[in-house]
Amino acid sequence: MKTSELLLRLLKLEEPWVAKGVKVDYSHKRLHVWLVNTEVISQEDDLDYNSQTCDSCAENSNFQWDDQDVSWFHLGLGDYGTKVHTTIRIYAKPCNEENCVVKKLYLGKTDLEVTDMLAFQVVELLSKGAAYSSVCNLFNIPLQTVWAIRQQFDSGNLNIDVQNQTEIMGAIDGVTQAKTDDLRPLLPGVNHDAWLKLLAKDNGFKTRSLSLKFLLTKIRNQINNVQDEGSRKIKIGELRHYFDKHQRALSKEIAQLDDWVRQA
Amino acid sequence: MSIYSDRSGCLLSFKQVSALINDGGYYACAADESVLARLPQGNWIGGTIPYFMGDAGGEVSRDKVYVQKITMFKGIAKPEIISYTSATLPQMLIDAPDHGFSIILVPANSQVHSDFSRNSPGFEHMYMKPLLGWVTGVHLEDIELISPKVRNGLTGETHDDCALVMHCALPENKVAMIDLVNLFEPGEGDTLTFPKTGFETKDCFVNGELVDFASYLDAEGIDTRLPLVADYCGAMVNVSIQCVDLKQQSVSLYAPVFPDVEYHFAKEVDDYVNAFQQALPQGLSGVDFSCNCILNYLYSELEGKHTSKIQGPMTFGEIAYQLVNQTLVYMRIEDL
Repeated sequence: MKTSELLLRLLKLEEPWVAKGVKVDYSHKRLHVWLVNTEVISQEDDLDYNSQTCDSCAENSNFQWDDQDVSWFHLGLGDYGTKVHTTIRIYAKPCNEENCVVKKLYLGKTDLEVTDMLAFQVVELLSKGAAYSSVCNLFNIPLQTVWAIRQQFDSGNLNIDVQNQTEIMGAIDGVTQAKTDDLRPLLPGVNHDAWLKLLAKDNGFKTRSLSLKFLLTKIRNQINNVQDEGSRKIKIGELRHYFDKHQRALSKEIAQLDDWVRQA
Repeated sequence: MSIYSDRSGCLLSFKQVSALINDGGYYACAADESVLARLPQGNWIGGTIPYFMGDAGGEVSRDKVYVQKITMFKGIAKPEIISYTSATLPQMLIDAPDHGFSIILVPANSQVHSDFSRNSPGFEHMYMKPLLGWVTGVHLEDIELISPKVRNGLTGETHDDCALVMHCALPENKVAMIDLVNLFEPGEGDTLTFPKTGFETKDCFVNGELVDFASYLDAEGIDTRLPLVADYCGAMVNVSIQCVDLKQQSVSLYAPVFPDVEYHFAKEVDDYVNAFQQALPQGLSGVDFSCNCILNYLYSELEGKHTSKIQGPMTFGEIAYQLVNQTLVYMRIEDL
């Protein structure tokens, strides 16, 4: 396996993405990788339209577009953060067709500085109680970027669309599990329906905790605005983290969850 | 200290509070600006307000100080006092201890007041770490003359554009429980929602239909002394009406409304003092921090009237994690 192929595999970027160039910034501990999507872009840097382009983009291919160089922060490698650079084609009308090759050029959102994969890891870690500063240090990204990711996620504007979501979630679980295992009672996992019941209205759940009442309202409203399963799981993870952190003060509330688990 | 008996706060003279501060304890103070400015430097944070609920009942005083003692625990880090601008405010709870609570004072009508009110539900660690406090104000006669302020007792600095926070750690066997006493319940009238977050609103959805909110209030003859009430999973949260401008078709509020939250105008409360006594949780006597709303003081004419043992400043807004209006907010340190 070539070094460049190994690098992309470590970054969870696989064919048709190839690395055109790599540069290491030792002073800022950052790896820069220039990428090209060979499914879409020919070696001569021409956009190769074919049957994989959606009707809308095919129609727009002769006008109303602009090529733009973009850079996104991406998953870290050891002590080093990474930044990927590529060219995307921006249309007057954004493409929302999942199978369109033009859409596949977008590793992240144009208004965020991170790839979808990194955005997913960031919100997952924050929802499990990681501090903003720790997330910044882990991925070598600025605080305002983390803040922007969180804001977009909370407002339902960051649908997590990542192919290898399960793998990433598993990896993060491994990291956070070790931190909290010794304290955790048998709270149901994020996939358990008890959490959805807790977020449903008129469920008979009783609590005297004001913070829990506020948090339930916030997450209930947010979860109504997110479309994808990954985001919902992260929101439930945030609620689960609250129970985990306050378990000593929430014995009555956890008992109600246990009842629902037993009834399931 | 004998003046406190079983409670942490009371209304005292300038001299008494100065002596307490000089003894080295940690305090949250409320007083008229002229008094706060003269208090000695020490471990305290202060906010301007001359309205109180004290031993003599509701009281306006430009001389006295309502002082709330922060209980110290052996082997636990001392409280930390930090001021926050609008730019640093979102990091506030990052600075809070992992186990403890934070008291925040915010000057009314400042940018930091606006930013806190609108954005605090999204702050990192919000609802994970206990946060309570109040919005500082002025005597109503001075409202056009001076700005509400906060004072950092440690540095002697006074601000009208910064929030001041005292972060307090607790031992593992104690927990800070924050709660509300809100006499207002949602009425049975129309369901109101708002298109965006804000202190000022023009548009409102009434039972799903978009209307001009000011004209709606006028046409329906709504008593605007009654707040809008939203049900947050059983916690009733008020947003009070500040003024209605029919000409500009705009309604100003004392706290922001949020989209995705349903509001109803409150049912009327006939006898505030009596209803207050009945609304208090059974067995609640001493509390470790409390504040109530200036609008309850004014609309329910509380001057000279007692509202149980729970005392404190009557403020321009109460903070129980987020900003609320016309509500008593209190905290108890409980055993785990």
